[in-house]
Order: sequence, then C-alpha cells, then structure tokens
Amino acid sequence: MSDCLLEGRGLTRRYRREDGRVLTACREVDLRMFPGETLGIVGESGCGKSTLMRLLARLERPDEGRLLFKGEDITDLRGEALRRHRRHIQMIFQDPAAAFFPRMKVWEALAEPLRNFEKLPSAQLRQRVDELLDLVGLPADFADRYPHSMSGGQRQRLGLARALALHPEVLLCDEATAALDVSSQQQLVELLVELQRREGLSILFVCHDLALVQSLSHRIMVMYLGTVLEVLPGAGITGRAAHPYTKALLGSVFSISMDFSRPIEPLQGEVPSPLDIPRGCPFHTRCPHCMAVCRDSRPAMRQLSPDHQVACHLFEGQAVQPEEESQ
Amino acid sequence: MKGSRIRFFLFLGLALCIVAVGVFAPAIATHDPQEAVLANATQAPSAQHWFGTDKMGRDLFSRVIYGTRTSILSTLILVVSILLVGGALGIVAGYCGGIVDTLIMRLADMMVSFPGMALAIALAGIMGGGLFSAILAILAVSWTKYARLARSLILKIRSQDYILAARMSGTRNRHILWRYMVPSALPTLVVTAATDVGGMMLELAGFSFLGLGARSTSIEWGYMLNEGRAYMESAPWLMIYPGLAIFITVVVFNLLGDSLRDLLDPREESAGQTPKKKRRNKDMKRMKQCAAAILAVGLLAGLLTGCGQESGETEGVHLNFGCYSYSDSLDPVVTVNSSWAAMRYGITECLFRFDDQVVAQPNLCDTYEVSDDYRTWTLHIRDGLQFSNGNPVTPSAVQAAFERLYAETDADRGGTGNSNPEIYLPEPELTADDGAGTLTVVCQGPTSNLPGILAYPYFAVIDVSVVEEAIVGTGPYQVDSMQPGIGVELSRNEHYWNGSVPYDTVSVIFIEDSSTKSMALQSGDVDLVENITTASDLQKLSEDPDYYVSTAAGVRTGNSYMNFNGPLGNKALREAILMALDSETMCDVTVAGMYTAGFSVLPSSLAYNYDQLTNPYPYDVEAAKATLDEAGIVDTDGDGIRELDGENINLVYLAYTSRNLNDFAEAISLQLQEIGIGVTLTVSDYDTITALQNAGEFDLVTANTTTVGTGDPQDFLGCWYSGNSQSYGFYSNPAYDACYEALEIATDAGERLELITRMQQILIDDAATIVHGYYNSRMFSRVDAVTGAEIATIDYYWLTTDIAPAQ
Amino acid sequence: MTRQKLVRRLLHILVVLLGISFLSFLLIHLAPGDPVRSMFAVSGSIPSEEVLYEIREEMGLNRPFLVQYFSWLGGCLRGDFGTSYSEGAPVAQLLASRVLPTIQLALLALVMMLAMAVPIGVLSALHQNRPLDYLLRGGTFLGISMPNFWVGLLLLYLVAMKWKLLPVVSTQINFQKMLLPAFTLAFAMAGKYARQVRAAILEELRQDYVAGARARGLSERCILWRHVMPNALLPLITMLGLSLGSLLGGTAVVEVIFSYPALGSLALSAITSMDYPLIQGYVLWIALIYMVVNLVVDLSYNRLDPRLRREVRA
Repeated sequence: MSDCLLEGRGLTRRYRREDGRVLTACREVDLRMFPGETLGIVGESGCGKSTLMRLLARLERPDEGRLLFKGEDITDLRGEALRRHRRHIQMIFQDPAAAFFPRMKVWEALAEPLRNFEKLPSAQLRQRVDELLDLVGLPADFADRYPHSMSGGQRQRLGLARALALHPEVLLCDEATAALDVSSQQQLVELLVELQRREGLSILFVCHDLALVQSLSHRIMVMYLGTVLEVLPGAGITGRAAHPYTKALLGSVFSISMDFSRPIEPLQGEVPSPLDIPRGCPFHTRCPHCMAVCRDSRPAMRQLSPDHQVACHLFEGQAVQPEEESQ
Repeated sequence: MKGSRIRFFLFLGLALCIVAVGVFAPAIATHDPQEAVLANATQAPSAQHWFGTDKMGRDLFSRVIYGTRTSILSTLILVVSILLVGGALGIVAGYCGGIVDTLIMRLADMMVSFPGMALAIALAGIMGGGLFSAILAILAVSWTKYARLARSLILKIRSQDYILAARMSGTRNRHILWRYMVPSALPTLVVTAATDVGGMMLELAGFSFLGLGARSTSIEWGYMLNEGRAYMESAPWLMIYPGLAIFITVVVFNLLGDSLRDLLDPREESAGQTPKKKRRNKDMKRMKQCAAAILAVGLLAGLLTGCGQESGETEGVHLNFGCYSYSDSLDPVVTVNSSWAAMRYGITECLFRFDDQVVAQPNLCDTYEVSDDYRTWTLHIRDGLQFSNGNPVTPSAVQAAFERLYAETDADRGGTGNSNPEIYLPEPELTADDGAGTLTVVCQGPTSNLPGILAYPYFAVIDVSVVEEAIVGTGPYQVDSMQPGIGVELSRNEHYWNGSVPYDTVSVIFIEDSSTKSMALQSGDVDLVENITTASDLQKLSEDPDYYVSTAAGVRTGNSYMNFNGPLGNKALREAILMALDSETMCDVTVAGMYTAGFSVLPSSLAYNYDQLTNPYPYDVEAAKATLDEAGIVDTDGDGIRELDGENINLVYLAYTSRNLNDFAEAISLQLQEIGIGVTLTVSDYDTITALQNAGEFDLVTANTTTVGTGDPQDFLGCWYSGNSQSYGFYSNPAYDACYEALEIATDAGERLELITRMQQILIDDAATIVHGYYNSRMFSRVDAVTGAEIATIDYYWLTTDIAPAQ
Repeated sequence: MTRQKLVRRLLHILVVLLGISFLSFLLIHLAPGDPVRSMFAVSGSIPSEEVLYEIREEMGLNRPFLVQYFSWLGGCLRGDFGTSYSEGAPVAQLLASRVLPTIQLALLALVMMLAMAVPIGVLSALHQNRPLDYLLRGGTFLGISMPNFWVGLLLLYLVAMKWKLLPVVSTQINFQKMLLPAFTLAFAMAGKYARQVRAAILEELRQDYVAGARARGLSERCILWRHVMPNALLPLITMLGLSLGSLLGGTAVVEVIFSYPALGSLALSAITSMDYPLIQGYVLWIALIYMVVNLVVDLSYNRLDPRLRREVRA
C-alpha cells in the first residue's frame, strides 16, 4: 500500500458570470494520486478537466472541498506558504508556443525555478541547466537559444525539463501531446514513462486521445460536465468499461483493426450547458439507458471492484464507494 | 526586415542630430542668445543675423539653436515621465486586479476628465510657474492613456501559459512584473511615446500661448512662436523659424516612432501589396469623390446659409464697433468691468464727466454748491433730462440709482453685486428735492473731490424702475439686445440731451484677439476698433492712410517700485539705474509704441504741470557707469557684476504679464546687466506677484496703475507715503510725507496742484521709482467710413457722439 | 449592459465627480493669489489690505477651506452652483448660455475631421510605402505639427481677409461663424486620426479573414468596405469619445482667435481671474461630459461589436 500523494475530496469550482448566472466547472470531484502512478483523465471539451487541473495545481482555490498533499491540507494556502509549496506539484502545458516567454532564452527559463528556491552560483546553475537538458534528451547548446527557434516537440520536452527542475512529486500534464505530431508524441510519452519509472513521479495525464491515455495510464478517470462518472484501470478499458458514457467514448475511437461490420452508434443530443446542469445524473439527457430515477437523483460512486468505481444507477446493486478506501 | 531597420536607424540618426544641436548649441550658435541690442530689434534675416532678430534685438538663429535644449529637454522629460508613471500604474493595475485595479482606474478616470488648463494654472500658482509646472500639469492628465494601454497589454498576457508556468515555478510577483510584464508592455509604450513627442511639444507651446508655460527668461520655441505672433506681418521670420524648428522635430520623432513600430512588427510590410492596380484606381477615385463631395456640400451649405443671414442689413446709418469684452453684464453693481462697459458703449452717463485733462466737468449735474467743510454738496440736476425710455431724470431717480448701488453691493443687505463703491465714497446720506431739482449729498468725511468721484462709472445714473429688464441710462445710445459673448445691439437714444446722435444703430461686436480685431477692421467687417496691441498690426495701420489712429497717453502709469530695504536703498545705485535705461526705445520699439515715455509718476497728459518738472537722470549709459564707479560700486572679482558692500548685486525683479510690463522688465534686466548690475527676473501672474510684493520680497516689482481713477492722484501718490509704503518698497522721505499729509486735508484746487507738483519732483529727484511710461489708449477707424474717432484720455469713454459717419 | 452594471457605472460617475470637484477646489485654494485682488487688476486701482479683507469677508472667502467646500457642495445639491465673481451672473446660467455653441462647434469639427481623416487614412493604407502614402503622411504631419493658433490665424488671414470668403467677425452664431474654427480644430485632429485609420486598416488587412475572403473571390472593394472598414473603425469610437469629450470642454485658443463665445474662453478668463465658482462649475461640467460621453461610447461599443454581444457558451 502506497501513501496517497495528492488527494482531492469533493472539489467544487463555480464561476459567476456577468449576468449573474453560475457556471459549475467542477462538482464534488474526488481524486487520488499515488507515487509512480499515472492517472489519466478523459472527457469531452467543457467537462471540467482544465479547471480540475488548475485546482490541483493550486492556481485557483476550490469553492468547496479539500485538497491534501501528503496528508497536509493545502486548500487554503496563500502567499509565501503557497509559493513554497510549488516545488511539489508541477505542470506542463498544452500549447508549446505559449508556454515560454518569447523574450527569455532557454537557460534562463530553466534556471528560473532553480533560482526561486536555491541560491546557486552561476556556474552551478548552468551545470544544473545542462543536466536538465540532458534529462529530456535535448542538446546542451540549446541553452543559448530562444524557445521559438525550436520545434513543438522539442519545446514540450523543454517544458518537461522545466517542470522537473525542482524534483516535484506530482506532474500535471494538461493535454501535453495535443499540439504535437505523432512521432513527437511518442517521444514525449516514452520520456514520461522513463522518468516515472526512475523518479517515482505521480503523473496526471489529461488527454482527448483515448488510445494514448489507455497506453499510458494505470487508472483512467472519465469526466462529464464537471462530474466524475467512472474510474477504472487503464489496461483493458475497452472490455471493462461500465458506464454508458465511457462505452460511447470508446465506441468513438476508430482504429484500423476495428470491426467494420458493426454500425457506428453516435450519442444523441448535445452536451448541456454547464450553466444549466440537469438534475439527477448529468448524463441522463443523452443516455440510451436512461431510467426514471436517473432524472431525479444523482448516482453515487459505487464500487464494481477494488479498482473500478462507477457513478450510475444501472449498478444499483453494487456497494457504494466507502469514504475511506482500504486498498 | 532590412528596409524597416534601415528606416529606423535613419530616423534615429536624425533625432540624435537634433539632440546634438541642442548639446552643442554653444558651438553652433553665432551670437549670445540673450544679448539684446535694443536698437537692432526686429531686423530681417541678413548675413549678420541668419534668421533676423527679435523684438529685443537678440539674434534669432542663436535663440532657435539654444531653444533646442529647452524644448527638446522639456518635451523628453515630459514624455518619459508620462511613460514611466502611466506605464507603471497601468502594469500594476493590470497585474494585481481587484481593488488596486479599481482604484488606479478610478484615478485615471478622474484625471483624464480634469481640465489640464485649470491644473496648469493652479500648479503655476503653487510652484511659481514656468515650464516645470506646465510639465507637471500635462503629466497629471496625460498619464492615463499610457496606463490604460499598459493595463490592456498586461491583461492580454496575464493569463498566458508562460505566466502560469512562472507562478508554478514559484516566481515571486515582483519578479513576474519586472521580468515579464514590463518587457512585454515597454515596446508598445515606447513606440507610443515616440509618436507623442510631437504632440507634447505642441501642448507645451500651446500653454505658452495662453501664458502658462515657458517664461520669458527661458529660451523655448513655443514661447518664441507666441512672441512672434504679434509681428506676424511686419516680421514674419519671428514665427517662421521657430515654427519650422518645431515642425522638423515633430516630423522626425513621429517618423522615428513609426519606424520603431514597423521594426517591432515586421508583418506590416506585406499587408497592402496584393490588390490589383486597376481595381484600386477605381476605389481611389471613388473615395476621393466621396470626400470631395462631402466637403463641397458642407461648404456650400455653410456659405448659403451664411449668405442668407448676412443680407439682413439694417436700414439707416449703422456703425460696427469691434471691441474686447470685459463683461457680459452692463449693470454697474455687478462688477467694475460691467460699469465701465456700460459707460464705454455710450449707454450710461454720470453726474460729472472727465475732460481730456481728466478734470471732472459738470454733465448731468450742471451747477453745484459745497459747504465749507466739504461734507455737504448740493448738486443741481439739469432740467428736462430724460432717460432713453422717456422717464424723467429727477433728483429722486438719481438718489434711487445711488441707493441701489450701495444696497446691491452690500452682502449684509442681501446684495449680490461685486462692485465696490465704498472704496471711493463711503455711503453718503442722500436727500432729493425734486421741486428745486437738487440732490443733497452729505458725505461721511470731508470730500473735496466729489465731482471726480461721481464721474466714476459706478455712479452712472440709471433708471432703477426698469433695472430688472434692462439697463437704461442717459447716454447717446440705448440697448436693443445683448448677446453675451457676442455683442450688443444699440440704437439711438431719441431723448439724448446733449446734441445730435450720429448713428441710427450700432453693433458692438466682441473680439477677443488683437490680430483678429485688426483683420476685422481691414476686411471692413467693423468700421471702428479700440486698442490693437499687436505690434505689426499697430505699425501697419498707423502707416496706412486708409485708417485713422487716434492715440492718447492715457491715465495709466507703468512703473517698477523699488525696495528701499535692500541694495536699492543706495542712492547712487538708483541714479545709475535710471540713467542706464533707454526709455524712448523701450516704449517705441520694445513694446511697439504701446507706451509714451516719461519720467514722472503721473502721466504727462494730465494737468499736473508735467512740463514744469525736471529730470536730473536722463538716459546716459556712460554717466551711469561713472556714477557707480565714483560711488565705489565696482566689479572687483571680474565676473562682470558689480559689488555693493562686498556682495554681488543681484536684484530680484518681479513682473507680471499684463500691458507689456514683462517686456519692460526683460529689457530693463538686459540693460542693467550691461552696466554690471545683476538681475534675477521672475515673470508670473498678477496674483502671485502682488502676493510677493505685499510680503516685501522683491527689489523691483512692476505695476500698471490707473493714476486718476476719480480724477485725483492722491491715492496713487499715497504709495510713497511712509504710512502706506510697506507694500510699495518702504520709501520714506519726511518732505514727501509732509506734502502728503497736507494734501490729505487740502481742499483748494490751486493748493493741491502745487503740492502734487512738488511731490512729483521729490520722487524724481530721489530716483524713487523706475517710470516705464504711460500706457497709450488708441482708437482705430476706417477713414472711408468714420470720422471723429478720437480716444479720450481716460478710458471710460469710447463711443461718443463725436464719432460720426464719414461724408 | 445589465441594469446592475449601469447603476454601478452611474454611481461611479458620481464618485468621480465628487473627487474631481474636491481636487479642483483644493488646488485653486492652494494656489496663492486671490480673486479679490484680481477683481481690481483690470481697473488698476489699489485698495488697501483692510478693504480687501472686508470684501473677502463678504464673499465668504475667509472661512476655513472645508467649510467653503461643503457650503459649495450643499449649494450644488440644491441646484445653486454659485455666482461668478467676474460676471456676477449665476454659474449655471453662464455655462448654459455657452453650451450650445460649444456642442455645435464640437460636432462640426468632428464631422469635418472624419471627412478628411478617413479617406486619407484609407488611401494611405492601400498605397502603403508608395509615393502617395508618403505624400499623405507628410500632410498629416503638417496637421499634427502646426500649433493650432498658427493654423487659425493663417486661415483667418487667408480666407477671411485676403480672399474675403467669410467675414472676420459676425454677430450671429451661424454655420458660417463655426466654419473656420471648426476647420482649424479638424485640421489638427485629422492628422492624428488619419494615422490611426491607416494603422488600423493595415492591421486588419493582414488578418487571416481577409486572405480567406480574397480566396473566396470577393472583390477588393467589397472586402474593404464591408469587412475591413467596419472592423478597423470600431476601435476608433473610443478615441472619438475622448476627442468629443475634450472638445466639449471648449478650445480656448481657437475660440479666442475667432471670437467664438464657447466654454473654452469662458474657462480661461475664469481661471486667470480666479473666479472660484465659475471654475468649479466648469470643472464639474467637463468631468460630467467626459464620463457621459465615455458611457455612451461603451454602451454603443457593446451594441456595435458583435463579439461582445454573444453569449458565452459552455
């Protein structure tokens, strides 16, 4: 049993718009991350992945719920305490073009996290920068170049190097591969896996690409309209998917080797607006198996097996996910 | 990319050239920019003076070159500080958000709506004026543009990933601001600043035009431009060259800013090149036609509507009189200006009237008696007098007018008028006897000069019974309508008692600007104009036989009080000063004839025996120097300034910009420096200067005073009486005091005249004050339209019945 | 804009007005110098200090600063903005009498300015970096580098005196009287706006949607008039708002030269004679105008820019 590194309990985040209406981005999200483990998050646009990421990174504060790091409550950290906490949780971003300040050279970008926490003489600083570059497989002479003179893939690796400068325990990847071509994607993923193995990094991997997420994640969390619908192991997701939404998502992944005789069944309807989340199960408006109870009450998270939870009334008989997990 | 880089360096080079001109000014200039040779004033460009000379005889080329320093430096300081202040506040507001943002933006809203002019004057007052306060004022209202710009730039990048990454890396806010926000905002701000240099330079120049910016002691293009305005036609180079300097600088800096922007944003180059030529020509033609059509329609409409209006000419004999408006009201109780206005336009009259020697003569009152104690005056009102509305002018009517005057100007009685009749005559007791036609005036104390006092415009006789609707007097013209700010329409007073009134109707047209007055006269839009003060217009109209110029050395004396509590207590010094000054040239050339030279404190035009006075200190520079040498006031340390009691002489000279006083002060300073007397000149506004004057903090201070407001110079002469003189230089002479005290109680005219003559000579012999001259009043008329346009000595009367149509 | 926002905006205006009036009151009173002494400057007579003191007493100028301010404020709330020292008339009346000519002049100047600036800017942008562009830009430089009093005098001299197209002075405020002063103002502003228009159009022309429109075969004229111009000119509305605000405060220089009785020359004489009530009234007016114009600009911006009108979707 490994200690839970980062835990979120009932994280909720709302935004108030100009005309007074409330947009609920995240609703009572529970989440656990462990060392050396990758948690993948999938879902459509607007499902709340990015907001969740910002909450975990403490770039924003949750309106409700608690966030704990290594058992310590970090929900209300502010000021210098929050700044000092930063070394534990790092992030790499979706758009490699925007992730780096155009007027800063590579070495300065990499040295910035180091300078924020350690007082090193410049020679040592330079040495650490070279080490970081080496870590992600970038040549040392890149240090004197500007980020925009590098390719997208190289920049993402640079972002990774920056994130790793402080030896964080948790790495949040916000669609880090979305803007990359396939080969660069591959490179980056391999790097992540290698680093996880070596350093015991806990990785949160948000992604659109189901296939990629499957190959990378130990566990996968499926989100919809700010709520978690299902949590299941990454391997064999295709076979074990329980929630109708997860099944539909999987059904939308086409591959060369798929069964062409089966008809394509797209989901009916549009995603409701997060300003106006339906009562009951958020998915009920589009669910082919919608029942009367689905319209009235939100399904609680139920345990199908020790490593598989689902929030759906179809699994009425299953045990409700207990508060404290004893895995 | 290459092209834009070349352009940038080209314009940067040009800009640096301009700055270099300023830096190396001493090497480039041909003369000392402050060296004034009064005799050489306003000369055209020549081999000796490449740009000609200005009104003080200073070389214009050198002044323009030296002006580069002040103009460029002040503009750059202004622009840089606006950038720094606005940029910093904008960046902080954008980054911090929340309450800080709200506060800063509210402040910006406040300052942008604040009228810069008001701020400039207030700051000038608090800080003593000059370029610095103008810079501060412009800064205070202009920083907001940069703040908003910076803020919007910051808002754009605040949510960028790299900022989030920086925060994730644990970077402190301070560092984010400094390393990310500032470099992001700075280029745009700098480009904006470069393009704003020109505009800022013009703002500073504009402030000079309104008298708020550079003082005459600094060499600045805007100020030179403003000075040259008066010589637009006679010495156009005075405007052309400084204007050219401004133009070139503005263009260069604007192009610099543009090229900088192009350099930082190279994508602009490829934008407009693709469209086909043919279609573009058609578009071009279309747009030109559109623009031309709009303008043409506009102009046509304007001219048509205008033409229609203009043909509404009045029947009969009409006069167009252009004059400066001092007041929107004609009611004597409102302000002193309104009382003067009503009299000047020929609407109101008093019981007495000043003749051209400024002696009060009977007017509405034809005979009078006075008691021996000079307290009780019995004034007989002329028989058969009527107001212009036909109501009879009875002693009761006169009493009512006077009582209203005092009541309406007394706050305790609920009066709202700002006139102050009590300073001339404390409220007397009035009794009217309509049967005998007399009004009895019992004064609070002996008042020997009641006729003079009652000739003052405050005491105009108006019809109180209709005063709510109109101001009705006894003058030759009556008011038909008044449009504040525009003019007054007058028509003949059919009941006028004193001869025929030449015009059926008169339009008094208010004109604010002297050049405009001159142009209006020349174009025929007005036939008669008073007091043109711009030098070139004055010269032109005087020399042109189509125009008649009547000049009177009026009742105002321009002088500089001397502070006897300082170095000027030394008589030899004072004598030398008077002898060093070329008053004739100053009056004729420096102030372009606005003054008549003289050496007594009372104007030569008055009846106080000016021709019997002698001047022991006529203009003689050598004699001045000799006097100083003999008195041992010499320059021992070779710095060009003489010493008195071991210290360099440095006279503090205060002047305000009114009626050319600052021109005199400047010219005098320069002449005194020629004989080795140091002068520090401060030019500011009336209030600041008089405040300093009352505090006694001066050696010399200018003044322009109406010497005989009520026909008697006693008040003015009182400035040198030891009891009063603390505000006028602490002059004290027992002989003078004795004369003054005698004058206070003397009632016999002959006795008074003798005392006054003696007092004038005492002051002259004591070299007690510098007399600049007597301010001229003038009336200008078109010979083909008007005759008899003479100006009276005392400027209460403009539109008289002597002014008639030409035959 | 929602009702709530509107109300908040109006409140904000009120607060700013209060702040400005206090600031100006403070400044004018801090400046040494004295309205009472100014009243005598013109007549040139010199009353003694005691008399000055008494007059100040009558006018309530010897009271403590805050008392004076709150008494003025109280008057404002009752609709009495004080009486001008130099003119003797109620401040509100004085300002009101000159508001209409000011508005007329401001609007005419803006219209003329746009008629000049927009074609010049567009032409200049289309012919970027070619001779016509440089020529036009040179012209705009003339506009922004010549002091407006110079332009005004020159115009007056040429148009009115030499060519006799218009009278130098006239007794009615009609279109003719406004023409030259409006043109003087427009000339200076046109230079600045033409450059803005040029920059804005160049900015739009390099946007992707223009290339897309060309690829779809739209004519250059159509692209220019129906797509580029509206987008380019929209941000200028904010600038126009600022310019209108400043014009409505009066333009002293131009008014003096052309003897056009509007708020600028009134303000100038008020300030030089330290006429406190009139200065306060004028400051209030300017601030109010600025805020109102900005509010109108913001409101119309919200309506005109479709991007701001759209609902934010999930």
